[in-house]
Amino acid sequence: MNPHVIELLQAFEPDSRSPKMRYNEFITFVFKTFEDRMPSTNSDKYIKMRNNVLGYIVANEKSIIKNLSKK
Amino acid sequence: MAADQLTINTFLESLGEVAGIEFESSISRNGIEIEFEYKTKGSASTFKKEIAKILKSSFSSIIVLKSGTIPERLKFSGYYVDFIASKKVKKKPKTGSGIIPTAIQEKGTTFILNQVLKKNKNFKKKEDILSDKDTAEGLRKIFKGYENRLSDWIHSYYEQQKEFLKKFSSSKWDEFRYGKDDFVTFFSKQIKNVARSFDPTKPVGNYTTWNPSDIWAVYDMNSVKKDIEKNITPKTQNLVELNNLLITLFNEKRLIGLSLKKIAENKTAKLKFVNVDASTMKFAEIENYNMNDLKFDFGNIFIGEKVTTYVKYGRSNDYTLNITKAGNNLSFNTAIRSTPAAQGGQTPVKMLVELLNRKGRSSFKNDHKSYPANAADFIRRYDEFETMYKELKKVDTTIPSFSEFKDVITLLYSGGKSNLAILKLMTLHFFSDALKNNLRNPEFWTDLLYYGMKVGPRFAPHAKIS
Repeated sequence: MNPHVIELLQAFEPDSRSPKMRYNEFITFVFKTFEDRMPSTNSDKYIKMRNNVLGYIVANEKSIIKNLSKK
Repeated sequence: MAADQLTINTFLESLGEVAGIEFESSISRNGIEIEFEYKTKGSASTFKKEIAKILKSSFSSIIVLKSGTIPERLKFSGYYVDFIASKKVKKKPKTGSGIIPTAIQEKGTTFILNQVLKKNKNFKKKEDILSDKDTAEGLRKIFKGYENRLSDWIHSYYEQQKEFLKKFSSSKWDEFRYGKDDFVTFFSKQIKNVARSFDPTKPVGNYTTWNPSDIWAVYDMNSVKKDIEKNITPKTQNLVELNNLLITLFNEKRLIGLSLKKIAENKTAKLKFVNVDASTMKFAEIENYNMNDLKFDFGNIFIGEKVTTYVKYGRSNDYTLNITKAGNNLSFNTAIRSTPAAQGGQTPVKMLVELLNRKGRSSFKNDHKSYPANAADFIRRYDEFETMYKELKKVDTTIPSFSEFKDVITLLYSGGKSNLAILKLMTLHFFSDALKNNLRNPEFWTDLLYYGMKVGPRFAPHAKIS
């Protein structure tokens, strides 16, 4: 699994019980985490990284949901 | 944790209404506050129980604190969800503020026309209206609760009756009626039996999508009603036949539908016949527009939290199509520069979709449920919206990059403003489909305008005072 995603999964604390809602919450969490850490310079590289991570999460929805259910 | 508050509050905001009660939730020092109004104590209890049930099934950390069987407070991660309930009281209309209800405006016109035609009042200048004791008293009764706004309408009433008399003073008219036995109500019922076209049968829809008339001038109401009923029986008659009958009645001065617009203080009214013959089913200036006369102002899709976008017609923006929020979906409203006090009318969405499919195919739906409900759905559909974005970029190269646009939308979804994100995506979709097939087709854009203004053979003949 993508190392960034593993790190984010570890930091994420879900509120919802429903797997689908947890997954949506996680996407929001990832987006906001990147927003908070966005550097003032060289942000293009960071945006690219964020979009890659989000793309990975969407492409691997099933395995992410499975991981989230262990929380 | 603050994140817990935010998530639960966002979740509550997305519900909007529970057990038939609309509510507002907001983050407070103690957690979250849910404000709502109730009619009976029973409905308040049902509401609290439902909220507790929904939250408990969605969030593991919710604990319900009850008084008897009624949830009084909900606890989560050291915070509370508190209910702030107030009993619903019948609101009195605010004096001096808000929009005057259309029914009051139209009742006012009906009353003034009756004063002139039936009581032989003669208003030579606008001041004469309130100087006449009987007329002033009648208008004050109609404007009850809005008395201090009456003066805003006197100019319009004066201009409306002046224009009406110019054209129709020599004809005989029954007393003008407004309410349950008027022609608006009569047609609203009858129009259900009329089809726009057959094979497949397309019903006309409701009254307002066919006919912009607010009040009707009629002579010998019973015989006119009989003629119309005869025409639209048996059920499902053709709209063209009904419109033709109305044109005949119009020309015989037996039935005139009047579309009323507020007249700006510094303007005089003009009465214009619309859809009574071929020449009044088109406007010469609109017919002459080419693509160079159109401006597309859709910048609000890509920045900030505004959603209204515009198509402007003519060198001096003589006409405008405003695309804006109407509940969770979009509405398409026309506006005419020469009558700034009033809207031109709303373009019926069904007709708009038909028009989008006339040249090429369109997948546009004016239904928020067809668009991504959350950030994850949006990310999944990036490619689809990027294709749409490219259509708009061809027309305006100054719009932000797709990457920036994606961030704007994702941030709205993440910040609990999904409705705004969806409205922006819907507007993008509309412009994309419209421009893809009609970038060199001014007729498409002028038809959108005509549909809003109810001009053309599909719509009822009427006299417009604006």
